This record gives sequence, structure tokens and C-alpha cells, in this order.
Amino acid sequence: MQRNLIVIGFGLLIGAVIGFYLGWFVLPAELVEVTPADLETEFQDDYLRLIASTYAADQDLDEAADRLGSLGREDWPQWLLAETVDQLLSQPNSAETDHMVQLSIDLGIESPAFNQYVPSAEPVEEQ
Amino acid sequence: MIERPDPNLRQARRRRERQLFFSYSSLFAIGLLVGIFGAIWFAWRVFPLDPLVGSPAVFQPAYQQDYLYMVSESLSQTGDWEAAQSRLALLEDDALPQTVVLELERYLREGRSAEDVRHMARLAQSLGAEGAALDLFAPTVAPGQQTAVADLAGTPTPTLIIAAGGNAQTAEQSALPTATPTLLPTPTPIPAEDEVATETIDDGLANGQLPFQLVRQDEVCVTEGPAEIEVFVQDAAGVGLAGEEILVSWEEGSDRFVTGLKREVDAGFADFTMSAGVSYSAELVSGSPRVSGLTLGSCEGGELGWQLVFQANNVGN
Repeated sequence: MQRNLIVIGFGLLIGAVIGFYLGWFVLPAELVEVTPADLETEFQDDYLRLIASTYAADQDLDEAADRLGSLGREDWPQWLLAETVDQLLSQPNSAETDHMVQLSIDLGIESPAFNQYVPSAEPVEEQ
Repeated sequence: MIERPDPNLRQARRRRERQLFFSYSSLFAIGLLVGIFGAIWFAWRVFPLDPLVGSPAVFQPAYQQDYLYMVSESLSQTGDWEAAQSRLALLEDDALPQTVVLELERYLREGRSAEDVRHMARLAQSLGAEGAALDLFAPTVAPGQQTAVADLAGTPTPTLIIAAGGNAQTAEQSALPTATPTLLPTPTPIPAEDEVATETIDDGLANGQLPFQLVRQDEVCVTEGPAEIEVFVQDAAGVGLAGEEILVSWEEGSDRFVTGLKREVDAGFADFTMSAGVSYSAELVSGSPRVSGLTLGSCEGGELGWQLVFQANNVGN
């Protein structure tokens, strides 16, 4: 019995060495073909700013809503509000702040912070 | 007297040794397999060597394209090149300028709006990309300017003027900073009896004269590759005009293509691959006679396509 355990343990050990070698070096795990919903939080935050700036450019609210939906966040209204207020507080005079406030307002999100906010940055648009 | 071993006992011992060997081999194999699969699972799911980070670099292609579009639009709105650069870096694309140029060419083929094309061209130019499409649609960089976006703060910048029919090859230096692109002129309908493109018009059209006339229409036997509608657009002096948009239509659809993307042939050259059994018509979007009944034929050793030459009526074109 003891000899059986030694044999199976030896097999496990050799197998584990081979398995880790394969799993780490030969066929390492990697993410491929992800959607915005799979983005890390920091990337999602930046993606949100891109959505807002793109909306400022093309004024396509449906497309902006679709892009927000692609992030797969059920709490998107709260998240958008929190990110917009953060942006407003940290960079009150930036074009991105204007874009995020405008997107939030157009998506029906209300906040006293928006009532006080007057867009300050002129759109840069084309040379 | 020597005692000989019992043959039965010897056979029994051999049988037992064989059974033990197979038993140990089986156990070893089971342990090996469990060890391999268990370790792979741990290596992938529990202890990956590099943490699995969902970033734009591993986006599905459609999302990567949309990401590029958003970066170009964002750049046009904010003028923040550093932010655009750091966002583009997340794509981890070693051939990013080329990728953006390919995206620009896709926009042209798909007939995306002039705004989208211009913003993408600007992004490509800012990345230092080169290409025929970029030559046509990116703003001209004045001497001393490193990139087109370097001057967004308010110094004099190039003004791209989109001419009728999306001809965006003219980039002029403006003395003053400009906030919005100039789109000239506004497309207006053309009288139906002219039987010409109905999207654009210019002064010539207002007087009933089309800006371009068809000066040649020839059948061309193509022995290598598919038959095409080859279009040459020239100014009044016979020099090829890049950036002229051609509308080709058939019973079930239409498409547009632009001259100038194959400068190795001619600056005013563009081609469209034909399909058998389809009757096409072609015209310049900026105004020309419509050439109908262009069908693919056969010739000795190949297929019969068409070559059309349009020439501007006025020196101004």
C-alpha cells in the first residue's frame, strides 16, 4: 500500500512539473478578443471619457448609449454620475469635463453639481 | 543433492511481478495525468505568470476599430495629443501608423462622413504615417510644425476645405485660428433632366453645364485579374485629379471610390472590380454625365472591362 502511494505521488510530482511548465511557458493563459465589459476598471473609466468626447463630436446619443451598454455595467447611471462629478472636481475647466457633463445631462442624469456647472472650455475642433 | 525450484512456483512469482509492474505503471500514469492537468489549471486560473488584464490591446477587432474612431474624435474635440498617445499606446500595436492608415482607407471605401475621415487622417498624420489616402485628406503641415495637432492651442493652423463631392485634397493655410471646418459648397439637388449625380452641384451646374465631361469610353481586355471599370479624371489641361469621388451604381446597390489611391498608375486614376451579369453605371459625384450599361464581357484570354476618361470643362477644376 505504501509503495502504491509512493508511485502515485511520484507520478503527481512529475506531472505537476510538466503541467506548470506547459501552463506558464509553453501555453500561457492570455485574454483574447475581449469586449469593453472585460476591461479593467481603470480602462473602463478612460473608455467612459472617450465615449463622452466622441458624443461631443458626433452628437449620436444612441451610439453613446450603446457604447455605455457595451461596458456591461448595470450600475452605469451611478457610475457615470460618480465619474462625472470626480472629473468635475478634479478638472473643472477641461473639455473632457464639458463632454462628460453634457453626456450625463443628455442621458437624463441629474445632479446639483451640473446645475452649477457652466461649460468653460471652447471646443477645439479642427484646425 | 541440488534441489530444483518448483516450476509452478517460478511461474507464479513471474505472474505476480508482472501484475505488480502493471499496477505500478497504472498508478504512475494516473498520478502523472492528474499532476499535468491540475498544474495547468492552476497555472492558467490561479497563478498565471502574467496577470490577465482586459485592456484595449486584446479587444475584438470591431472594438479596436471603434476605439480608434473614439480616439480620433476625442482628439478632434480636446486637442489633447498626450492623452491620445497614451490611449493609443494601450493598443500595443507595433504598426500603429499603418493600422490607422488602413482604418482611414476603410472609411473612404465605406463612404464615412468627411468629418470622420478628416479626424482619422489627422490622427494618422500625427502618428507620422504616410500613404496616398493621407496625402489626400490630412491637413497640410506647415514647415516647422511637427504634427498637425501641435498647434491646436490657437496659433495659425491649416484649414482643410472640403470641396464639393467630398473632394478634400485642398488644404489651405489660414491666417487665423479656426474653430470649425469649412464645408463648401452645400450639396443641393440637380435637375432630373441632367441625368447626372444628384448629390453635388457647383456654379457650372447652376448654368446647366457639368463640371466634367466624358472624353473617352473604351473597352479594355484584361488578361490578368478581374475586369474593372477604370476611371481617369483629369483637369482641363489633362493632368490627373486626385480626390475625385466616383459613384458606381447597379440595380441592387451602389458604391463609391476615389481617385488618387493608386498614384503609381496616375493621380487621377481609380478602379472598381466588376461582377459578371451586372450592369453598372458610373459618374463623378462632383458632376459628370452618367455612363450606363457597363457590363463585364469576354475577350480572347480574359475579361472585357471598361476605361472611362473624364475631363474638367473649366480650368478652375
